[in-house]
Amino acid sequence: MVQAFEQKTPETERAHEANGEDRWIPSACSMCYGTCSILAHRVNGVVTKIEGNPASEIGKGRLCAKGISGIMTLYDPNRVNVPLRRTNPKKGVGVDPGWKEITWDEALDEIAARLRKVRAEDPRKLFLQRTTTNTTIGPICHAFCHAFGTMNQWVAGGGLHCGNGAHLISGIMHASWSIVPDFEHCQYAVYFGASKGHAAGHASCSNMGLAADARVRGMKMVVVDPMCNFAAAKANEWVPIRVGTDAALALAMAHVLVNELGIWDAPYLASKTNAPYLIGPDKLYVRDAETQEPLVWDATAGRARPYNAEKLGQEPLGELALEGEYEAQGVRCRPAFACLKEHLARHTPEWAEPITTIPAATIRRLGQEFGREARVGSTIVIDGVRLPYRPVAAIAFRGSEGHRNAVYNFLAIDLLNHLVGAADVVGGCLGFNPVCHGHPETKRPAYVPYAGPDGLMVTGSWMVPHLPYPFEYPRMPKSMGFNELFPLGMSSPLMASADQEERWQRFDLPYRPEVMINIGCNSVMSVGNSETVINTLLRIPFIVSFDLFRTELSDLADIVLPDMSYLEQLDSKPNYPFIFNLPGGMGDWCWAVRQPLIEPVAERRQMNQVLLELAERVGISEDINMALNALLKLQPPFTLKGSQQYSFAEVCDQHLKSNFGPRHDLAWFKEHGVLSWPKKPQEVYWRPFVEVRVPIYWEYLKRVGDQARALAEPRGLHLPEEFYDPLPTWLPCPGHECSDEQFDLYGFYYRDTIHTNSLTQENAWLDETAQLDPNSYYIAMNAETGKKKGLHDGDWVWMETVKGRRVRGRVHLTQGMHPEGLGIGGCAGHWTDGMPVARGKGVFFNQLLEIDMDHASPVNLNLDLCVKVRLRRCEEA
Amino acid sequence: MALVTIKLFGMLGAMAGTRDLQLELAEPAHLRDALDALEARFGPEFRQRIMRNPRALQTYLRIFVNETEVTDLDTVLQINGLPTEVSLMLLPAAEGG
Ligand code: SF4
Repeated sequence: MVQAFEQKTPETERAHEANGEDRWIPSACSMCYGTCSILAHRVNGVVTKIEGNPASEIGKGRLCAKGISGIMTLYDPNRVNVPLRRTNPKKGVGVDPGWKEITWDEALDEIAARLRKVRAEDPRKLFLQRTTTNTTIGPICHAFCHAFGTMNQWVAGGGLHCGNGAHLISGIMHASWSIVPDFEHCQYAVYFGASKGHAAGHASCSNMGLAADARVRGMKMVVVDPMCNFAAAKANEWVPIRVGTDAALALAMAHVLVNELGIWDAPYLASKTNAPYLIGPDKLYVRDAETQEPLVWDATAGRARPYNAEKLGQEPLGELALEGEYEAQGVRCRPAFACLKEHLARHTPEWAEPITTIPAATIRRLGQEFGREARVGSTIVIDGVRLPYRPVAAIAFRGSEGHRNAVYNFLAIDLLNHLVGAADVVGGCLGFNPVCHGHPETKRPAYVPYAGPDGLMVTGSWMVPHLPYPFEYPRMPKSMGFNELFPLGMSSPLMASADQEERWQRFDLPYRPEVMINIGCNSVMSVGNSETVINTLLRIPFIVSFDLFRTELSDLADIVLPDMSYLEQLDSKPNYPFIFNLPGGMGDWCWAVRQPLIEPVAERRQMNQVLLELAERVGISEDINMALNALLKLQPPFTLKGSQQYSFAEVCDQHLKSNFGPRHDLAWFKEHGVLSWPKKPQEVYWRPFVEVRVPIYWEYLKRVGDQARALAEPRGLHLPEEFYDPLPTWLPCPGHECSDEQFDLYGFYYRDTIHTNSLTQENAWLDETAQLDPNSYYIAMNAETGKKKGLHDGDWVWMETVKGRRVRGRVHLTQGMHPEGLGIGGCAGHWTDGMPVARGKGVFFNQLLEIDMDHASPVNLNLDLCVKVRLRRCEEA
Repeated sequence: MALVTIKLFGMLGAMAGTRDLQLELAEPAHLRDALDALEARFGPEFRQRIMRNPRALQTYLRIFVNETEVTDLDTVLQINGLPTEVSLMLLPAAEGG
């Protein structure tokens, strides 16, 4: 049921007409998580156009098709405008919920009563699920959960194959959420299943401009991907690869560098990584008996000494050995680099060829080009500061890491950067802004990575409260997702998996979810096959869903709450943390806000405000204030006090003043939109200035694995040992292990540029654009393979898995696809009548994916996004 | 004796079954002493939730002494006889995207 909405009240309309209003208002996009800064043209209270804000680094005045189209989501007549209460207790696909309009008071009373009850019984019975698309809702969701006392929260909106592996390893190796080439100086970039600067993703519009300039300047770009898609189409070279085998290619390139060409950056490896740490026969560090610190071989002194001898008050270390074999603490041992070198020797181009389908000669050439362009040992002067110059970068993201072997795929690729010292130096692979010295007036926000246990880097800023390193060692799980057992994981399939109840029983989970709060997420479609997700949702007695439209998930809810779209919302931090969404490289720091562009419409409310109100009704205002103080790092006198009630606007105001001083309050930001200040070379190219090491040998992975397996195996959860070796290798995805020859193709999902997962499928302009695109709503297939199967462009087919899951779609035959690949974009194929524009369009790829621990990384919980399938021609849908 | 007010927020409060308590600690009192006193009262499981090892706090624990976040176990709790409020909050593993 959708209420016709009134976008203007008579009073506001009169006021606007009298004023003849015609304004451009600064705010921030949220049609994807890129949060590009926008200017909205408002004429007499109506938003008539959206453009990029050239005053901001975030987008640099550019918008993508989605950003321009946000206006159609704002004014979509199918929006949910009033709270809705289910009257039909029966739930299921195709079951009419019998929606009844209720007031906000009725809705909040009922929700608060449920919450009070479960909080009194066991707060962990609350389960909060949120979209990834609007990342800035993270702090309020975390705050609510921490205040309530539940750890059961996940981000399911981007699919489980969101960046579990990319973020973990970028955090550990680059102190950032993701990595990108230093576009301004890079000469040779290899993209492994990534589209940075060419499509959706972090800082996407900014990166698009930077990448375009880099290509014009002459940066050579090689894109390794099963599909010649957004990045590959603009690259100098497209290297088609069998899906999910990126680690094999990267390791073979690393072998060429180290064992064939003898190229590595010894000073970098010795001083900035754990390459010199001595490894014993048990694959663990050899430690100093007294201090328990890892030992290195001091070649000058001719003996083993703690890596941090000087900090321990001993004389400075001499030259550290990277190769050779030594004796220390009574065992034979070798530096980690020597172990790596020997390990790589098994990963030759000839070994990688049958795995990746890339000819060995091509692999060897790529390794040679990478090594030559790295210019190991060179320096450059930037803004008067002499810095290391390594103009090569190996970049990875979801295409390569969205697999069961996510950790090794990403590690192997990033290893290329570290071998040649191209990590966070000029021209190399940059994390997104891992070091910030703060605004010149307040020195806030400021953060710098620092050395943690064993001298390894702890990130200075992070997206979620728990850091990627140091992590907890595996414990018996008490959370729904078993995060205690998988300290290197984030989004866990167990939140919506087929084996959920069985695992919970085997591990004696002492409670079950009783209330779910869903925030803008359609997990029925965004995780994996809908049957499995729906079964888990049907077991939750009470579901509240904040939504813009009635989705497939809200059809299973008990109460649906009308959320505001990003053009109606306020937020003090749309692009913060900077490690997430500010472009890397030199330029400006830039802090923007999001602000409402129209008068409130109907009964829509911003969910941030609603959570604060719910906290009050549940009696946890003091807790949520404290959680917000901690998460937003509010400083006195701008901390939230006691159990005082704050509106979300007041929280935003405190947050801005705490960071930038009382002069830069919410009113200032609403007027000016952005606050900018220049970056320093020591911030951007920070690696030489910060005393931290990163692991090229993941010793602790073995320790984590040993402990996790000791807990899991007796309870029937098999965690294969080979995933926990300290050195990366290529391990097959479940699809690679399928031996039934009928299933001869690999279906995989990619991020479309026209749509953001399922969020934008209802947008009329984007739908129209997607219908004109040859791939968006189609199954992209290699033309030659299609011909061999007797298929023609536009033919309807069933795509079927070994498990009998299937989806129907039309093939688009193209030369830009690996012969074994079938590429499907976005998260289309909706069926709910709440989204009439989206309904029946495109292919629902996730329907093919199993959701269980057998299809997830046993290290970091990435669900595998590729699946072995067969095609059968069928009639038009 | 140093009089220290402890506030346990969110999950810690739920675990302990109380949110506000008062401690009397021998002077000079340090944060470590307050945490020892909490362990004595609520048991080793409580301590496990807040301490990574005897020398280090859990990374997801936030401690504020009179509104200022602290990470050093040797932080002095009562200065010049002024009342001290120590707030502890767990921000346990929740999930990213
Ligand atoms: S990249 Fe994302 S944030 Fe930027 S304009 Fe496009 S949809 Fe908006």
